[in-house]
Parts: sequence; structure tokens; C-alpha cells
Amino acid sequence: MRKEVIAIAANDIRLLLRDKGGAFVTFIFPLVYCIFFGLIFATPSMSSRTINVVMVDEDQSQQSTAFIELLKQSGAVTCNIASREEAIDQVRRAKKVAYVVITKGFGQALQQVQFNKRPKIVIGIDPARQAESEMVKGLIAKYAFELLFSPLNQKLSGGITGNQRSAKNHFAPIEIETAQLRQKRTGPSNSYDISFPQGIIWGVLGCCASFGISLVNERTTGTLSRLLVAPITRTHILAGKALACFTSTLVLGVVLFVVGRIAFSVIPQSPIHLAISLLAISIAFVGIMMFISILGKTERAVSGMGWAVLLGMAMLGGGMVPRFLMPHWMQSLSAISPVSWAIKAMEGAVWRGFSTSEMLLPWCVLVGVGLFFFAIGVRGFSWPDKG
Amino acid sequence: MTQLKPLISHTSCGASTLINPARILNPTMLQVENLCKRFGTIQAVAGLSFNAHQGEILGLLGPNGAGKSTCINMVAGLLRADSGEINVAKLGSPINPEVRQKIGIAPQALALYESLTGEENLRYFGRLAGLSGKLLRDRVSWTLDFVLLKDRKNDRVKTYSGGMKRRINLAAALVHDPPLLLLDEPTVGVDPQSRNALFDNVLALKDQGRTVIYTTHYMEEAEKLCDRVGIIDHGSFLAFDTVDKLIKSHGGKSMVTVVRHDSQEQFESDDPIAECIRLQKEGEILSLRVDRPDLERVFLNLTGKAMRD
Repeated sequence: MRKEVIAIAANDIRLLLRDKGGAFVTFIFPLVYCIFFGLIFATPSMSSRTINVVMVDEDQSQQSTAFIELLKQSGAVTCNIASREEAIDQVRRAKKVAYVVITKGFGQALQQVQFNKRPKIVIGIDPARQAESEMVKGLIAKYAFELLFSPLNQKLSGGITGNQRSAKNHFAPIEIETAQLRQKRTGPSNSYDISFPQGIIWGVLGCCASFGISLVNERTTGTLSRLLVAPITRTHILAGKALACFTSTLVLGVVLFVVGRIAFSVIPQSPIHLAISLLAISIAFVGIMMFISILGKTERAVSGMGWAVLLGMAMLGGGMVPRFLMPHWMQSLSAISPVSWAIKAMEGAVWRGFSTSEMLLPWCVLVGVGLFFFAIGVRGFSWPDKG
Repeated sequence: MTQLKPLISHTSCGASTLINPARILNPTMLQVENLCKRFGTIQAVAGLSFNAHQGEILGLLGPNGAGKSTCINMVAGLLRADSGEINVAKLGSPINPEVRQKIGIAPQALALYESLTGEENLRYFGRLAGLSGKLLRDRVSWTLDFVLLKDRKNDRVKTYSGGMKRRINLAAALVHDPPLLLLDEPTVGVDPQSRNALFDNVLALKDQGRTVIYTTHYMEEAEKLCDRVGIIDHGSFLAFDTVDKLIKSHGGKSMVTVVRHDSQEQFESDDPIAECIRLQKEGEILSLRVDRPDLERVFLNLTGKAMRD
């Protein structure tokens, strides 16, 4: 790489560090975000929203079918049916909040509750959604009770006794087992595994905005003209700018993960996947930085428009509010935000345990986004001689 | 760079003046041939042609919007000409980055990183020009010394006074030791002390054999510094010559004002010295004033007195 390109990049990073506001947004704010939301996620909270689960019917009895229907009709959950392997995979990929396995013998045990038989249900919760764990368990218990005293079960079991009916409030008719996903290391070891990727996104957005604005600043202060008179090409200038943003983004990601590793036990499942994810994220946001720099003629215009675009991406992509708190239609829509792919790439490497083939999609999307926006940015960049 | 000593000559009117030996001895540093540039419907530069020699200070004067900065920007490689040719140091067009190595520019708008120190700015611009290691350190040190900012090299540019910023702006143009300097109104907004320091700098650069293209609105600067002056308006030269020849051909006559006990008389004259001798013979004079034509009068005669915005 030409030393002039490195000189431009080094100068841009120095300028960023000299700008206390920009340095705070880029380096300090993300760490504050990581710690703050890590603490919040560590505390379970209740939600009244519909929960998206996947059902596994291993019993295939009348009662298990009726149980699934009861859950569907309740309006408290939306569910589909899959095999156990598919269900676990869907939860691991964060497509579903939880999987619910109706184990073999469920229907038979339900008929023999008065003989101390307890039907068994296994629940696996997305580790990022532990806040909803108790809610899912409560719903399962509630509708199991309804099934127990339903006309169908009354008919099949020959009727539940009055004593048992009166003991309804103290009697647990089913056994709910929670699958230990963490032991298989397919979930986050702690809440910081979730908050650090989101925090890093804020740093990346800060870098993106700062360097986008600095490009416009070069034009308005005249230093870009001086760079153009220097014995280097325009390609060198843009390459230097891109390298500065790329390096800062990468260093930010690495530093925050090192802090997370040392102070908050954030241990990536695949450091190699994480390294590639950070590279892909850096490429994506270098492109977006270039795009932001053409959103206005002045620093103020670019700052306003740039942050509007970036905050929109963050809101939609789960950078502000975790995606699972969004309505389902918005969760689907969030795929258009590079932020959601960036978070997916980091979570896939840190705790979701994505295979390399599963990681390919977010990596390719991020690199594609970067190249696309970089091309638009370069094409639309207003050089001093273009007015 | 070759050191050239100026020669002293005498003009036809008897005044001594500096003749730039570079024009006699030295090669052409900049050749501009029939340069044209149009912005939409506005013809900013319309067929400018001139040469500048090594060790020469060439002034470009003109009202606002005359085409000076467009011309400078094309010479610097910032703008592409619609037609015409620019040849720098016989290496070719400044569109070529290697040719731009020979050019240093101090734009009118201070093009500096205010949050960096003076030294950091110079090191950065030096690196961009391909300097490194000891050569870079030596050039930065020499340049800071040259513009008298060595003591303030570690202070951020935003803490500098207007004059200091102008000097570091000049230093940034000089750091890579270019033989051709483009100084676009380098003394705008500075106090007389800083202005004089900048004059000394520019004259020292000329003595070092550098070619300086100097645009200014201040006529006394052009008279003091420039070997030749081109007066531009509407994108083309109205006149181009040494200051003395411009005054002689476009300045008009000297204005003689004589005050006696009982009268005051004012008239134009081609030979004010002869007029003074004649007036003295005619009787007692209380005061006598001779206003010789100057560059400002040349400028106004050529470009008119109408306001330009």
C-alpha cells in the first residue's frame, strides 16, 4: 500500500482522536452502551406480547394435538410444528423465541394424572430471550391445566376427581423441563455477550458519521484542494479515507471485545468467525461512510442527514431496541438494515454457534452492502472542481 | 536550489530597479498557452498565455471574478482546462501527479488542519508529497524556521494569530521544496508586521531561484514584489509587462499641484521634473505636489471603476 494512503489514514485517525466529541461517540459511548444494556438484559422482565415458539409433537396423541390447538387459539403464542432438530436450530438462529417438545407418553400420562403420572414437556429458550423464559413456562402450565380439565381429557381419563379439582391451585399437573442450551455452548455465557455486539455497532456508527463528516470538512475548509494538489491521485485520497474508517472500525471492535473478554467474560465461540465478521462489518460501514459523505454539501447537512440514516438503520436493525421486542413484521423488515446483519454476524460468532456456511450469508451481505454504497459514494462525491 | 543575485539597472526615468537575472539566464518554469475554461455560460478564462521563468515573481492582478483563481487552480492541477496547454518545468501538465510534485500552493482560504499543530500539518503535507525520514524532518525544520514559527511548532494551528496562520499556510506550500509556488492572496487579513514578514519570505524565495505566481488585490504588494504583472479581466490579459512599463503605457500622466500665495494650480504632465523647474522660475511656491501614476491607476484605467461582486 502506498505510504501516502497510510499518511492520509493516519492523519484522519489523529484528527478523530483530537475531536473529543467524535472520540467519545466512537470509543467511549459504545462501552457505556455495552455495560448499561448488559446490566439491563441481566434482569428478567415480563412482556405481554405474543411469543413466537416452535412446537415439537413427539407424542402424536389426541391430547398433544389438542394442546397445540389450545396454545394456538390462546393468542398468547404463535407457533408452528417441526422436528426437534429443526426446532432447536430455529431457536439457535433466533428465528423463534423457544421450542416446546411434547414428549412421548404425554397423552397417556395426562389421562393418569390421578395416579401420580405427570406428562412431560421440554422447553428450550433462546438464550438472548431469557427474560421471556418464565412467561413461556407459565403459558405452558396454564394451558396444560386447561387441557387436563377439558372435556376431551375427562372423557379419555374417565374423569378427574373432585379433590384433585379443588387442589387445582396447588397441583402441578405437568413436568416442565428446561433444556440446558448453555451447557452445549450454543447460547451467550452472559448478558454482555448480547450487549457487546450492540455496543460495537454504536461505535461503528460513530466512526461512520465522523469520517463521513470529516470528508465534507476537508472540502469546506480547503484542505481537500491541498490534497488534490499533492502528487497523489484521487484514488489515493479516497483509499486513505476508507482505510482510516476501516482501521478505526476494526480497532474499535477488537478493543471492545478484548475489554469484554477481560472484564465481562465475553468469550467468542469462534474467534476466526468473529475476526471475519469484524472485517466484513468494517467493509460495510466504510461504504456507508462514503455514502453519507454525499448526503449534503456542508458538515451540518451531512451530520443531520447522516445521523438520520444511521439512526434509522440502528432502530430497524436492532441497534437500539433488540429485535425480539419488535413486532414480527418489523423483525422481517429489519433484514434491510445493515445493522441487523452486523449484529447477526457478531452474535453468530460470539454465542449463536453458527457454522461457517451459516456465517457466509451475513458476511456476503455486509461486503455487498459496503461495495454498493462505496460505489455510490465515490460516484456522487463532490470534488472541488465539480462544484 | 541555485542562488541568484539580483542585478541593479536604471530605467529611462532614472529610477533604479531590480532586474531579475532569471529572465535573462534561467529557463522557463511555467508555460501557459491559450488557456480556456468555461463554467456554464460564464467564460472564466479566455485564452490566457504567459511564461514564468525560474527566479521570477509574476503577479496576477484583477478585479473579483476576473479569472485569477481559476487560472491558478488550473496551473495547480485542481481544475482541468477546456482547452490550452500548461507545461510545468518542461515536465508536462499538472494533471499528472508527478508534475504536481514541482508545485506548491498557498490558497487564499487557509487550507490547514486547525486541530493539529503547525509541525504536524507540515509533516503530513510533506509525507503526501513523498518525503520521509531525515529529509522530511529537515524540510519541516527548515520551513518552520523560514516562516519564523519554530517556537510555536507544537501549538495547535487554531491558537495561531491570523498572521501566523498565513505563514504556516505558506510553509505548507514550501515543505516539499517545490520550484514553482502559487500564492493566492497570501497577505489577506494580516497586520503590517506579518505582511512585511511574508514579503521578506517571498523575496527570499525568489532569491533562492523559485518561481512565484502571486495574486493580490494590493497594488503596492505587486509593485514591491513582482518582476512582471498581468492585469486580468473577463478571463484575459488586458496588459502584461513589468510594473514600470505598465505605468508608462497605461498609467497616464503625472499630476502636478502647485500652491502659491494667491492661487492653486493643478495640471497633468509627461515630465513633472521639468515642470517643477519651470514653476520655480515663475515665482514663489508655497507647496508643490507631484502624483506619479502608479499601478493602482493603471489597474483602474484598464478595468474601470465600476464595482465588481
